[in-house]
Amino acid sequence: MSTEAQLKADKDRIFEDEFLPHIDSLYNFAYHLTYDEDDSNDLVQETFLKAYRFISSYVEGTNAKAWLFKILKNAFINEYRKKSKRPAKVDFEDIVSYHDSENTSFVGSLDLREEIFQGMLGDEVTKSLNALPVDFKTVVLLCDVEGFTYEEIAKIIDIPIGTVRSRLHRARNMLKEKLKDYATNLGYKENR
Amino acid sequence: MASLENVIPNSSEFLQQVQLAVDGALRPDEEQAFFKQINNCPNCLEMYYNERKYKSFMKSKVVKKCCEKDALIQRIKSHLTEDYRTH
Repeated sequence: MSTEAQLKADKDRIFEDEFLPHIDSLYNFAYHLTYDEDDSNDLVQETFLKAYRFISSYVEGTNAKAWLFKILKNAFINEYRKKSKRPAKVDFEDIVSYHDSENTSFVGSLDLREEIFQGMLGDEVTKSLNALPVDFKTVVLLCDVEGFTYEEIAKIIDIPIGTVRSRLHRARNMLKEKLKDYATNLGYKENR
Repeated sequence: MASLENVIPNSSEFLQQVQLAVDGALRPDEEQAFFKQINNCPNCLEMYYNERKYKSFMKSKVVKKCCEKDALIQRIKSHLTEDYRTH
C-alpha cells in the first residue's frame, strides 16, 4: 500500500471508529441549537467534513466527542448564525455578560418529587430549555444532558472554567424559574 | 471554592457549591469538607438531593432528537469521496 493510501486508510479508520459513533449526540445538540431538522443535518454534516479535513490535529484515542462538539459549536457560531435567514436575535454576548455577573436573585431548588413535575412531558421540559438564551441553553445541554465535565465544556465553548460554573448556575436558575412558571400554570403551589 | 464556613445554607452561593458537588467538580478536599458540612444540616442535605434529582430529571426529560442516521452517514461519506477525488 502506498503511503498516501495508508494515510487515507488510517483517517477512514479513525473517522469510523472514533467520530461516527457520536453522530446521535451531535445531531441532538445541533437540533437544540437550530430547532430545525434540515439545519441540524447540515450542521452535523459540516462538522464531520471539517473533522475529516482537520483530522491531523486530532490525537487518536483522545476525547473525540468533545473535539467534535467544539467543531459543531464553532460551525454554528461562525456560519449557521450568519447564514440564517431568521430575524435578528438579541445580542447574546450582552445577555451573557449581564447574567454572568455575580448579582442574581436566588431561585433555589424545586421540589421535583411533586407529581406535577414527574408528570411533565419531555416536550414541556424541552420547551422550557429552548426558551433560554442560546449560551445558557448550551451549558445545560453539555453538562446535564451530555454529561461533559466543566473542563470539557470550557474547552468546547472557549470560556474559563469559572465562567462555566457561574453560567451553569445561572442557566439552571433561569430554567427552574421557567419550569416553576410552567408548573404553576398547571396548578403547582410552591411549598416554601 | 470559597470556604464553606461562611457560606449560608439556602443562599445562592451555597446552592452553587451544591451544584459543584453534584457535578463532581469539587477537589477531593473540598468534597470532603462539603459532605462533612451537609451531613450535619438536614436542609443542606435536602438541597443536595434536590439538585441530584434535577440532573436526572433533565437527563431523562429533555427530548432526544435522532437523525435518520444511515441516510446522513451516507451523505457525509459521499461528500468525503467527492472531496477526495477532487483534491
